Amino acid sequence: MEFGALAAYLVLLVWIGLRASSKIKNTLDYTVAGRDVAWIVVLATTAATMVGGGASIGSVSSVYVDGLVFALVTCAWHVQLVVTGLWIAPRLRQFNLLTVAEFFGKRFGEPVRLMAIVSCLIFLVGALVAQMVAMGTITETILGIDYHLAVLGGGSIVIFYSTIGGIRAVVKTDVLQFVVLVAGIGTASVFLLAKNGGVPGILAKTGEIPFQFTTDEWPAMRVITLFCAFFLGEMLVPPYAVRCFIARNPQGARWGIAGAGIFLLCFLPVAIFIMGVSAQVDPAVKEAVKQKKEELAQADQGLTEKDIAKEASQIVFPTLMRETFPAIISGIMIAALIAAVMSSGDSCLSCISTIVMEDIYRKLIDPVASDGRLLRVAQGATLVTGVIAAGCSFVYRDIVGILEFVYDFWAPTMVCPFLVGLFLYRKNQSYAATLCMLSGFVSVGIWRFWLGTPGGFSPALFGFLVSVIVFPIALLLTYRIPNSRLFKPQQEDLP
Amino acid sequence: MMPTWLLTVWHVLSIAAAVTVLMILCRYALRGETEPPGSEKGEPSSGENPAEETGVFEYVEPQEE
Repeated sequence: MEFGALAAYLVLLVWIGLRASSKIKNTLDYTVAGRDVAWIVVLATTAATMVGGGASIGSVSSVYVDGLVFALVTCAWHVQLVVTGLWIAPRLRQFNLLTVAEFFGKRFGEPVRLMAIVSCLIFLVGALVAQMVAMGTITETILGIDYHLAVLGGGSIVIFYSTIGGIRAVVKTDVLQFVVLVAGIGTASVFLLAKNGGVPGILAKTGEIPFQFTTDEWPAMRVITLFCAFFLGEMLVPPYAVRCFIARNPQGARWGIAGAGIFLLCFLPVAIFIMGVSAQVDPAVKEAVKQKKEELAQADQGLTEKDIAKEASQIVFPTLMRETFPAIISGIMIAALIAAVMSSGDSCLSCISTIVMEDIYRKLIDPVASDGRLLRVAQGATLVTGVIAAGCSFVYRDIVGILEFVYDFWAPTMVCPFLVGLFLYRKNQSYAATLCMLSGFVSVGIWRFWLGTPGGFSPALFGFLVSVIVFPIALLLTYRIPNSRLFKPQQEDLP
Repeated sequence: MMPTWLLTVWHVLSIAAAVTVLMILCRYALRGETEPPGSEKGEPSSGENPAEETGVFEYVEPQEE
């Protein structure tokens, strides 16, 4: 039954991709959906992109292990969306951009644009490979399908609809995933709460520990540091920036992105908390986790006891779904979870194709290319990148390692100059922006690889603080030096 | 420890938020139009933006922000 639901769901995604492809008439349609997406659809697609494997399966598993504290830390993702939506999205939408790097070029010149392209590609390729790995791992864990087959099957579908339908297909499939996930998670949380006698009933069964703000393993400093790292880690990343670009107008971008943040802040942390703690008192889930732990221990992959506990807890969400719903609905929910991972992957794929088309091909190779030619380049880039990412996911299978790497480098390199370019822009900031980006990148490398992350202090946070300190100092030292032709902003008259 | 009443209120809020957003989405799917808070009908859309029509992505002064 679950396989049938999954197959039907995947066929539906392909059908949506085919329908979306019929509406692609030019590169603007393919890369930013004609900039004509209504705010409620921006809200849905942003929320679906946020609710990937990490925010659904990963968060419920973490609440199962760590309790309320992890649910509260995840609020950082949603607060970040609210901040981005209210203050950043409307300004970004006004610029009529196609890519993040384009903004950097217009503000700070060609070298900074090239560094931004590299930074975006590192983030997107890493995130795409991680989502492919997650897709294979989740399918293998939940349904017992071979990892390689799962990556090939799921990856082919994502690559297919992203290639033919571009961002239009991505947005439409995101809306479907959003509806299924919200309906499923919302219903599950109500069922589970009623089944366990409300929040007081769960408290009586679990004791106070899962309800505490801090624990021995989660002291206040760790909670605050992780909150800041989550807040900065995904700030202004291309998949969210594109959601600003596709909105119909600045107000649409504001309420689409901020609305997604407000909605998720209201909806997700408490829902995953209820699911996580309900799983703690569910005998079937406890038994399934115990069996998984034994399997992992027998496999002897060199995992520590803590790693085994974390790994085994990944089956909490799907097991809970199977226990709560009839087979067909749990099948749809499980398919939606796999699709949630897909939706994060397809966003990365779409952003990479836009970067290749606009930032690399049109700007560096053929500035006078026709629209049809650019569209073919974007479609080719989607196809080739997707195939390469699927290939990489056969070699690198450490999801957390890949994601930590890309998130650690994003905020220190990009966030400070991005915010300066948006809100504090003055002429002659190109050299300071260059030094700021380089210092963030190098400091993360030193902190993470050379010093080994002292005191467990997040490299992303450390690098970001360094970049924030370096920027004003570099500005003081370089402000009076006129920009050379190379560093001249490509469009200084932006507001 | 977080009070149980606060978690209960938060959960009620979460369900209300989910129902509201799904209803707005349904309304959009059926009627094809919704306007964000504070937005006037007739704001510039992409089709009305001459820069986009020519494929030149230059800044165009917004009519409202």
